[in-house]
Amino acid sequence: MDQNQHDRLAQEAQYQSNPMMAPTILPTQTYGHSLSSSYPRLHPYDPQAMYQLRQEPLQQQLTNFWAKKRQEIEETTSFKTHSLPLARIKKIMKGEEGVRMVSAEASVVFAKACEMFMMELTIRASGSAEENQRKIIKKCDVASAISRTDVFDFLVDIVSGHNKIMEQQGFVGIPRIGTALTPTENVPYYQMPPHQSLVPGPPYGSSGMVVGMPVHYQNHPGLQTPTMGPTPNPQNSSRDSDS
Amino acid sequence: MSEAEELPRSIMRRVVKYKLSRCSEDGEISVSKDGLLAFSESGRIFIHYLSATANDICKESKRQIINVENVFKALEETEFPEFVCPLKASLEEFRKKNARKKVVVSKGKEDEPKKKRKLEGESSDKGEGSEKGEDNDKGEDSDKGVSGDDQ
Repeated sequence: MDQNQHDRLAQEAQYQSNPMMAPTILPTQTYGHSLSSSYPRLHPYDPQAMYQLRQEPLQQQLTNFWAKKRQEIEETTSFKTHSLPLARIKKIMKGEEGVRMVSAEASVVFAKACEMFMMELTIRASGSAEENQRKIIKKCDVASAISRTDVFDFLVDIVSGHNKIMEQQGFVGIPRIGTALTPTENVPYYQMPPHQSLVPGPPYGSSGMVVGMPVHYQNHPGLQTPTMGPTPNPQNSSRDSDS
Repeated sequence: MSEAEELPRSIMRRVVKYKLSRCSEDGEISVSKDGLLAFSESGRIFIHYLSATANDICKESKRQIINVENVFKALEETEFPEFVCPLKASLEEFRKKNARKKVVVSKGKEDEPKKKRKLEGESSDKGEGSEKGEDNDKGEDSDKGVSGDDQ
């Protein structure tokens, strides 16, 4: 190709009597013309210049290509990790009495909320495992994380009475939070919080959601009996220390 | 309706491992079987708790369908306000994905043009790349939903 170009340049130079016309017509001839005029016998320089010109855009394209691929891989990995089945979540939601219809967007928000909840619980449980110098998270680590955090109070009886609930599932079906509560079972558990200097507040008492739901109504007196009302200071201090 | 539904353990393990690999420095922490079961139970109870609260809020506004605003209020009442901002962001991404799917379906194009379009979209914008990721997620959701029904 270089020889062909050289021949073309030579022919055009021969045909055109006026050399000043060449640069205005073809820009490539400008470069060749100047080279031929200044260094008439250094033809090997042409292929090097052409090779360098071709190489630069190729390198840029390769760099951009691999950068995009890297981003794509990261995004794909991060998004594939978060996928909870929406149909399953809807079934669990409808297991609650009174829930009739749920919009599609609400199901998606529930799936994301559940993932974030699981991640937060994972962080706290892994902290508990590390305190005991273990690298495998066990159920007791999850229970410990739940007992230390006020916002996880709604899980207290479920995790502590895990075996009983598994037995009950065969007879009752979906275990209710209310049915899982028994006064004798709760009293020894709530002796623990004073040692940890944390007072777990009942979420239903603080939220005030008592009317309209029999389950909540059962929970309300059961939870409030063994403990005093929650104060905002312990919750704030526990949150600050956790974060 | 009366049968006890559990969250799939493989996905639970994936979520837990993802978070452990991110927050732990050595990256060697794993989960035992009973620990994973505890996580699954906790997630299910969380959904029950949140759906009951959202349902109460929905009844207060005298409506029959739980929507996203009820869910956000429920999260604030259950003392998880830090979840609301990232959830709104993911909801926006979900809506974008839905809108984009509608456009593609209305044009009635075949699979290969769709793939090419998505590839070009990725090259131009990061957001569209994330949308593709969610497309994969939704596919997996539908598949596992079907398997759940079969069980």
